Amino acid sequence: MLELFAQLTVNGLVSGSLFALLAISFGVILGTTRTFHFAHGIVYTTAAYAAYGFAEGLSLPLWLAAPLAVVAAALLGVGIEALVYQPLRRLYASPLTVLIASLGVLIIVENAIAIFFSTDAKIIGGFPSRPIVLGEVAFTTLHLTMVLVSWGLFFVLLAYLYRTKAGKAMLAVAVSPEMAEIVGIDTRRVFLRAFALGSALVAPAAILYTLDKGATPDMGVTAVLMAAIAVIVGGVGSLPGAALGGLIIGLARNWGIWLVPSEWQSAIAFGILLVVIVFRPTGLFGVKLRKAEV
Amino acid sequence: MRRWAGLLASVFCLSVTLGLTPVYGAEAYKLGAILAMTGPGAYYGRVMSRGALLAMEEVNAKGGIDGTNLELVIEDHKSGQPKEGVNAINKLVNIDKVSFILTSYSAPTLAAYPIAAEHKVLMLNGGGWSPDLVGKAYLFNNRMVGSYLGQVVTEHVFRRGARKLAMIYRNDPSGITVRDQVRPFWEKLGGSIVATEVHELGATDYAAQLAKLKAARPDVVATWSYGKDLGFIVKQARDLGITVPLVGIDWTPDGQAVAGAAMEGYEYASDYLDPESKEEWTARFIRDYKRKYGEPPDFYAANYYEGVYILAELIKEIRAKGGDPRSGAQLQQVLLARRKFPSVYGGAITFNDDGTSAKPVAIFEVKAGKPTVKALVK
Repeated sequence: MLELFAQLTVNGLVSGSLFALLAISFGVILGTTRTFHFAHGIVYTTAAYAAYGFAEGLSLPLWLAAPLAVVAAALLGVGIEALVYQPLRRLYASPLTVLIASLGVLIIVENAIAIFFSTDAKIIGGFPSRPIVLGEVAFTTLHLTMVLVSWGLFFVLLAYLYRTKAGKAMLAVAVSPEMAEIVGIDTRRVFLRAFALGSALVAPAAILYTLDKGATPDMGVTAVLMAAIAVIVGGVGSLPGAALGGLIIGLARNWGIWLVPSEWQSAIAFGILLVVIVFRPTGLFGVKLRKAEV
Repeated sequence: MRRWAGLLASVFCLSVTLGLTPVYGAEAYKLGAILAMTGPGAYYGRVMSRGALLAMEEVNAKGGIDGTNLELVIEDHKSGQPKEGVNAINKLVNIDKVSFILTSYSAPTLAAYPIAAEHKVLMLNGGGWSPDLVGKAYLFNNRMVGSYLGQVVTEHVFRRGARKLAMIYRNDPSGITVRDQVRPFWEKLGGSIVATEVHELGATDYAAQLAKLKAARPDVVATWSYGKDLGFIVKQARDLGITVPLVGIDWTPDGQAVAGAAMEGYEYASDYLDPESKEEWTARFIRDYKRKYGEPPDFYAANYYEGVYILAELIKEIRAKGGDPRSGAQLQQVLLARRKFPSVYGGAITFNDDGTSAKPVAIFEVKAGKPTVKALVK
């Protein structure tokens, strides 16, 4: 039984690391712009299919296809902000309206991908994945890469936010957009930068996942749901909280199936969300919200 | 302005309708097919429709059946969705008014079946493998039943000394029924089942199920799954350090593409189409299919190719007797009276009263990315 626990822990750390990356990418947008960017899921899917298109369709090597997919994801994220959210904000749209518009974007692009690529799983080859066996526990070099890339990007993001001027401006907007305007920060540009940053961060998660398990048009919905749950569990506005939330969900989803049949796995994350919302609505590291967002 | 637009729209619709309607002989014989044209199982729809279309073109090129051309109407069940199976049968029965349908996949076939039986439409399944497809009037199978194939492959590993079996199966009738029928068979042989896990259709993440199967320390892992699902299971099982033999009852090139080198040594029992066959019809079919589609046919293509020829035989015989080949009741009557039909696999295919048929079966092993025959099964 102990080896099952060890294996599930490793599985949980691997998927939890990817959830953490998803969560900080979603959290940086939500925290800065207060936009519940549900279409982040489709940016994730688009990154996966862009990588697939570049690597398998155009036969580019993976080291070239992956950065191109990151650029494609960033462009889509910025495009959604510039063409959908900004016009809506100018009309003083309520957060609910913005959420529905976001959902609309997700549904349209998801179906466009399904029409163009069909709905069967698409796989990308070319990653030299090798199994690593440590006693009773096994994982692959790809899994190890997932963990290293996710936490590496987490620290890069923190360094950017706390060490650079542009990052500090983003933090300022996150705390108070009005005050930031007063001291001369162009919030519109900071918003665009947050979307570019969040979308570029979600792409590596999508590409790594696709290298392991293939891409399907509906992959983004699960991804953004897990990201949102992780952010709420960790506390809106706290990036370390979001990362920890992702890790907790990854581990819980795997430890959980020790006790319940594995087909219940996706229900576990929602169970955690329910418990957190009832008993600690601000999340683990969250501060009390000043106003209702979403 | 608005009126003009409306008029233009109707003229456009009319021209599209006229343009798209092929000009067949007035009395072309329509047959239906309900296949996985889109979705995770699109591979199956592609090869099955190709097999049926090739047969149809051959029959029509020879002047049809006593002057009547065949016309194949293909509907999509989107890789096994029961709801789509029902939509498809309703369209085929009410609009196309077919009396013969080539069907595939267990779940949509079972969903469509009551409507087919009510309208006395003869169904021939060449792909689905659920034992639930057996023993039903108007439903015949030129595909071996999965539970039988499951027994063949598990008996094979039992003889080799495996005693502890773990199973992972697809959560639909094709997977569930094989699980239910292999369990007593394996226990009767003297083995034990140490773990059973289920997965959804088209899933890509099997880490949780496989971790549980691994912890049960089986001698062999059996998969009652197919297509790309099978590829992901095999790949992730090997990634997870499951080193015991993996067996199943299916293999397809798209599953192979997913699993890659991890598929080496995977063994499965399945219908057997000999690619090097010396039988005249078999060799001609393989050659013509390859020429037309640029890849060799698998047994799924062969089953649907064969299905069209079985229908042609039935129509010919009913015509000779002065009956009506557009009556599904008469099609079934003649099928059961005759039972034996020429088979593209060589020799004849024989249908039983319960709707099953007897044909060659083999155990395959994947070597260098290709299935190779390990043993022929009587």
